[in-house]
Amino acid sequence: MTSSTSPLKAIKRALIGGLVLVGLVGAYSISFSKSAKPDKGKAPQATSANYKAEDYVGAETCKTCHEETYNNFEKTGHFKLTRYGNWTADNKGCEACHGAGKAHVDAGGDKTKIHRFEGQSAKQISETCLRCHAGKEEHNNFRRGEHWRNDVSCINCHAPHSATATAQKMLVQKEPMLCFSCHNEIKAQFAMPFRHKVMEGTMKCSDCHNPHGGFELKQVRLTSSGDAPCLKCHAEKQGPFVFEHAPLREEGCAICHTPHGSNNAKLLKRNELRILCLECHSNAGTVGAPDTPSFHNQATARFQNCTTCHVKIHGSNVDRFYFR
Amino acid sequence: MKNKIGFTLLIVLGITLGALLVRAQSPAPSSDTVLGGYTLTQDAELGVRFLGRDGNDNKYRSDLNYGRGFRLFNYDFLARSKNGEGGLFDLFHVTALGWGGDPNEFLRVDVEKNRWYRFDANFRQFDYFNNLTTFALNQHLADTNRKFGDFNLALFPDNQRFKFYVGYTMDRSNGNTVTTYDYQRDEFPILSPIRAEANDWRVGFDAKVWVFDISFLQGYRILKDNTTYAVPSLNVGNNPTNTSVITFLQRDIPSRTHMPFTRFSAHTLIKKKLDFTGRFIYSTGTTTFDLTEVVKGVDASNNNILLDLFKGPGSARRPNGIGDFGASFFATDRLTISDTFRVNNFRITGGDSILESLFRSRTTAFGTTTLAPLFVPSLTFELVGYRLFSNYVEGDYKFSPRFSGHVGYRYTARRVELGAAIQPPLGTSIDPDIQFNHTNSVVVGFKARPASIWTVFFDFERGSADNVFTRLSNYNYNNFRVRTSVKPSKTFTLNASLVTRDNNNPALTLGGQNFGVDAKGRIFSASADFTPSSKFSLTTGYTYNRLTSDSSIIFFLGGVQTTGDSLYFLRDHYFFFNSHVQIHPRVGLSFGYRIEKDKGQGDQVASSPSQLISSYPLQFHSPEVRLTIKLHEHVDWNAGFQRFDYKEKFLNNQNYRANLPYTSLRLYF
Repeated sequence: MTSSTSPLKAIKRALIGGLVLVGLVGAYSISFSKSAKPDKGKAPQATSANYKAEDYVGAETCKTCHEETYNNFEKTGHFKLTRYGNWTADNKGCEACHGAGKAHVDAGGDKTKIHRFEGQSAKQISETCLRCHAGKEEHNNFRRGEHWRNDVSCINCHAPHSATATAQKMLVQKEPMLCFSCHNEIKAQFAMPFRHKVMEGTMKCSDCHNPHGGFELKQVRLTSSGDAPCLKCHAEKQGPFVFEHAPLREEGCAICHTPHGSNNAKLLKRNELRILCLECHSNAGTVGAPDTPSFHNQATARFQNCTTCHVKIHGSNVDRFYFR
Repeated sequence: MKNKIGFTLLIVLGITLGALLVRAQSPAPSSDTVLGGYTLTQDAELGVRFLGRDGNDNKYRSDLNYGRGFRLFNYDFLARSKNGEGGLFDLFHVTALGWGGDPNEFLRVDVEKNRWYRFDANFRQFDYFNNLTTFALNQHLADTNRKFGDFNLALFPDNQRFKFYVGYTMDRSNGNTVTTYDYQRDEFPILSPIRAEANDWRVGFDAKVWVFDISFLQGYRILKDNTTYAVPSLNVGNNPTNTSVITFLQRDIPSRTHMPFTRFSAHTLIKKKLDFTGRFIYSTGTTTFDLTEVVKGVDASNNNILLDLFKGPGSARRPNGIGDFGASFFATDRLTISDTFRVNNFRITGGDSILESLFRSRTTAFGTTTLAPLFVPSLTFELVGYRLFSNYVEGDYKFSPRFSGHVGYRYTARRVELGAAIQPPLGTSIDPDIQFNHTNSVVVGFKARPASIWTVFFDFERGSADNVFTRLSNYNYNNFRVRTSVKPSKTFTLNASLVTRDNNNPALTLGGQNFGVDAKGRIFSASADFTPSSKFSLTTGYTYNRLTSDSSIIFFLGGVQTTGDSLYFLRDHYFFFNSHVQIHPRVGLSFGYRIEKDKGQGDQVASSPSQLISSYPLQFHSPEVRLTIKLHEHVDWNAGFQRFDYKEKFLNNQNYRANLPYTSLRLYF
């Protein structure tokens, strides 16, 4: 921790300069890069630029050979698009993802004449989905998200044509089990005595996290007003308060609470509240939060229970010590 | 006892009936119902839950709060138009669980008319109970009801050019709580019935404008808090050495927070090479309140408090702007460079003006004397200012289809401003304390697929956290995370992960002691899923969560400043398995077991009064079993049993055991 004002301006300049540089390098590279061409010998890509309107045969034609897949597809949200008469063929039905099917049909089902996803990287598969599903605020950061980076593609979580009829968002499995299939270490926290009611089915992981990426660490989902997701339900902690406990907004709720689950009451990080308080209010002067006064005798139960006096610990409007 | 007999009879009846039906006919697959152009799928599980428990009822209710009685365990209804040309809707989907007595109740409704609208609603209700001997001297109690609702309507949801959104979110809290109040240097438990609500309205759109995907949202949030505080009769307080008592207290502090907010975001992908996203959120929260507190009783000097009146208004304001910008440059098929930049700026300014009017008398052997009234005005201001810049730049390179790596660097600069003034002379400005810090961290990681069935994810992060005032989450850290998944077949998956977190505060020597924090966290987890067929499945797993935290602290023992250590231990083991066996085409058996055991500090005890050792060793295990018999194509009969057994090591007055048998019918329409 330092106490000077000059670095801030320099930092600001460096950050903005860095961004400008990235933009310039990117623009330069694009200008001199050749446009992408489909690789020879590979299955054709699903981009509409590669096809003419007469190359599309419609989903009903696919059904003649792929009836089981079609029957499953019929139950998904994707199927409704086939009813949209004024939508072009490259945006609906099987061919929206697999590309135009005429050559494949004419060749008697030749697999090399249709766009298939076997052997494609997770990012390539996701790009197919993003052709239609980019453009929503929810998905804007997918190409920078943790899942993108770690090659978790859309179809790892969503089933484009085999979801059960009742599946929300065409998920391959219900939350939270879907998330636990990779993030297995989190499951134990939801079995602790104090926990958010995720296993009970009344909350789900995506209430607080955006699986499609985001600007926040751990892909936490902000409220519409830009607040921490906790405040969507715990609105009474939102403030603003005249006397805000500084960490509340600066460090976030997770400075004192473990959000998934805890053995400690109130999902606190320590079982004894005073320990939690003293580890910040450490009386070390330059380290940590303001000191505790000398009459706070830690040998007595009275001063071991900080919130019996400092009741409004998240923030108070009428007492700077959070007494009421 | 009555419940036990009833349940036993139901079990026997069900098994007998089930056995007869199993013998009598073979199962027929259930089919969807077609009605007026819609395909309907519906199932509902209705039943009754029984409850037998012993031990600490308050702790049971604080943890679980399941009651006895009839309830809707689960409900699912789906109506889908056959040809996509339904009347008012093409899809109507309702899911519900827990209604009729469970402490956690949930309802979701999705309605959609192709092309025209999509409506989704979530409604949740929680019965929240809190009564713990381990928290705030068992004087912070709650028996409340919380309701949350989210309602969203999208018009033209499939339109790629323009979508319009309207939304509403509600939050209601009602019920009885007990809290405490520090008055006259004594603490008094006081009643505090909660009445708070939040309402949030939103309107916005997504639009495609030229090459940009634009999103705009305008919202308004209102919070109302009408919680009151009361002591209706004589209350002597916690402190036996303090003579003060409260005979009457009534505090009203109605507060209102109004928060308009605006969110704007734009995204584009240029030539499949450059992905840009920008987002800006601006909100201004303003809280206004008016305090009226009336106290009567006796003060710490044995004076009669005839009336201690606190009265005054106040307000607080918090404008907050958050700007985010992200760019990804897909330099080649193998290399991606991304940059994410954020600026977050808020400033909280607030103040109140409260007048205390104190009327007292003093009673002695010679009679009662009225003391001169006291009028104490207070004018208080506080300021919290915060500005953060952070930037994260990252490169991701795919060395081969089986191996890719990434490296990233994060830089954060924060400026925090804190200031307060109490009764400042007119014209005096607040002189805030301003602090800066800037932190750096580096992330290195890879994703590998050594074999087609085996995937490994690895991340290592080293740096400093951006905390200025607090140190519970510490400054310097090394985080290591490895996750692996082996999938030898479609029916068998093995997952394992190891997460380590080593945190250290920078060493600082105070009074000859290295005044730092050392916290080490380790989480190891492994799980296996085996589903060879629809007739059998097994899922099992184990997690070990270990945390050792050692913090130097300075505290006061009998007025003497003492330098000591705070040690916190978590040694948490968790094991579970769940299995389902279809023992007959009509009979299914599911069973599971979960155990969580935290060994805490083990045998360690504090070596001196200056050492504070804390942990919460406990054991919490829960077996469960469920028998399902298909009585008819449209009817399943279920009987199940859950047990929760909770034991603490240090305190045994919170232990409980709860047996929760239930029986239900699942109806398929």
